[in-house]
Amino acid sequence: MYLRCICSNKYEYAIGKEEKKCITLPSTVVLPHDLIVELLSYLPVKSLVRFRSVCKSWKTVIYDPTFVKLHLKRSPTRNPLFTLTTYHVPRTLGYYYSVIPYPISRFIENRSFNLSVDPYYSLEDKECSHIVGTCNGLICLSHYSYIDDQFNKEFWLRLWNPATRTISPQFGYFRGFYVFDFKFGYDNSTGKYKVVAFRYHNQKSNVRILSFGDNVWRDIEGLPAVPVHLHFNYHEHAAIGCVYLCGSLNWLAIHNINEYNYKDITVGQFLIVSLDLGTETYNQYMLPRRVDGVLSGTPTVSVLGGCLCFSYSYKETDFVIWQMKKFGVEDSWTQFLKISFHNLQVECNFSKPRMMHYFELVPLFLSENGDTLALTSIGDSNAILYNLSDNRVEQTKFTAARITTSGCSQWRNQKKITGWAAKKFMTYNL
Amino acid sequence: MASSSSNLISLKTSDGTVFKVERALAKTMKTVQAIIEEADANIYMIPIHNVFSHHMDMIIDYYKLSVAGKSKEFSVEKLDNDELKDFLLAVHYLNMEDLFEVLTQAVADRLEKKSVGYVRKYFGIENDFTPEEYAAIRKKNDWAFKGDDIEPEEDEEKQEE
Repeated sequence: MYLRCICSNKYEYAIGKEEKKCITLPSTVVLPHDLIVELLSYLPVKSLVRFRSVCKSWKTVIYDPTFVKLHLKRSPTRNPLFTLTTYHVPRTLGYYYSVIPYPISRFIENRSFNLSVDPYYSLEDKECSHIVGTCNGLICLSHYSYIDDQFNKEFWLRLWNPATRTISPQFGYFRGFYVFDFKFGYDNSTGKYKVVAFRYHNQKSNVRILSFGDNVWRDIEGLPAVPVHLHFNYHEHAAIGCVYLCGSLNWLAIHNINEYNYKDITVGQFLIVSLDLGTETYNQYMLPRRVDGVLSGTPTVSVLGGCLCFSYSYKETDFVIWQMKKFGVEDSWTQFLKISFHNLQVECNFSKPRMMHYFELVPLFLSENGDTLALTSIGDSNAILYNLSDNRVEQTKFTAARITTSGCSQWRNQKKITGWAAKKFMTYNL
Repeated sequence: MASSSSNLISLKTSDGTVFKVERALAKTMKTVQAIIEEADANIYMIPIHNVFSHHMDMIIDYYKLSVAGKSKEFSVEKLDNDELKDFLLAVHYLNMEDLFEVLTQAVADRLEKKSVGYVRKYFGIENDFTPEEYAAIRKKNDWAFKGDDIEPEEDEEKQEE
């Protein structure tokens, strides 16, 4: 089982201005319309979807983009969800899996559990095989098919909102050679969701971008450095090389791929390449200068507590995480954690011949109060919960069973669990 | 007697009761604050319409708890639905941000798992969907009507009988 985490933060609602008032009956305390809309913005998504059936006015308001903004503003931190992905072998060919929203708080409180999975969360009937990313509770999915036997493929995307159970049709078709990686994010300046497709081939990168709703791919400038963890196609680890934060996509990169020698890496060789989704231009950020010595294995990037983080294995004994406290400010890199693999109860085997992409631990998320850090270990199938205030380490363990009409059946074989954090979110236009 | 130089402000509720409250509490009521600021001279007594003495009692309770850092202990459980809505209206009128949030959350919590039928009665809203329209929207969102201790709809209960 593998755990992976993508945190998303906000989603939005605002109030429409022209709703018809509801027909009201006497003998009850009647609340004015604007007060009712306020009230609705405090409700969870499932209730709101149900209450669309209350009357025509509510049906309109609840899916109105302005109400969406208000709802988003209400609950930035309320009950953040952590999405578990279970990987299983379905009836048909192809590797599809299920993505299940699960509250972070429940995960922390109860580390061993049995999960019953609603078949709705399976990607199979959505005909998508990959998670591109999540943002504001929306999950971007992708799929492709081979056009010929020359590795030419046709790619497409779908945008899925598991909270409202709505999904977009396939969009963003394009034909490309070799492997494209996709990343997903939100442009704060225009309020649009964007997908970035990039490919690194023959020492050149091709980058193209699409705004959800436009359906047109636009080529933009290539990445100024080479992304590390390139084409690391395991779904579980897609979030280690590039993360979304504050309206930008951030890649861990290296200037010259030919200089890359995993036996002899120093932090100075790496940098962060940040694509601003609004201006569609790149910024580059250095990593903390105070890290010296040789790293064992390749570092990864993640987002913890709303900050960009950089983590690595140090001298084969320790795991270190740095946080960029102020995004974009290189001086704000602060060492967040240094802990030995031994204390984390993780066994690392650095003597194995290693590939370029070797890394041991991946940070998943930090609890709201900053006390608990969740990590996943590549070599192991469990997640580790580390309590920062009392240094307690706990392993998590859970099984997943799919709900079928004939009761629960365990999945066979490959039961990997990957995690993505998403928040319950309502959107429009889906 | 109260004047703006003392620490107490006099508020007169709709049922004629006068409450002397700390200036700090009056500050949390943006409506009252606006009245004080707009007054040319020192205002003697501020009438607060739509607010009754039982509302003020609860407001003062909440204020005392929040000053002591115990605002989480404030509960409106003992209020029935109409009383809670009524209180919400009063606090809305007074424009008290924190308490308003507490009360709207309390109402939302009461409604979260309720049926559509219950919600209509709660707000006094009539169903203006045709049976076909309702059936269509119901079918489309059927998943939202199930599971998680959600109250079943009345029409379903009848069918089960």
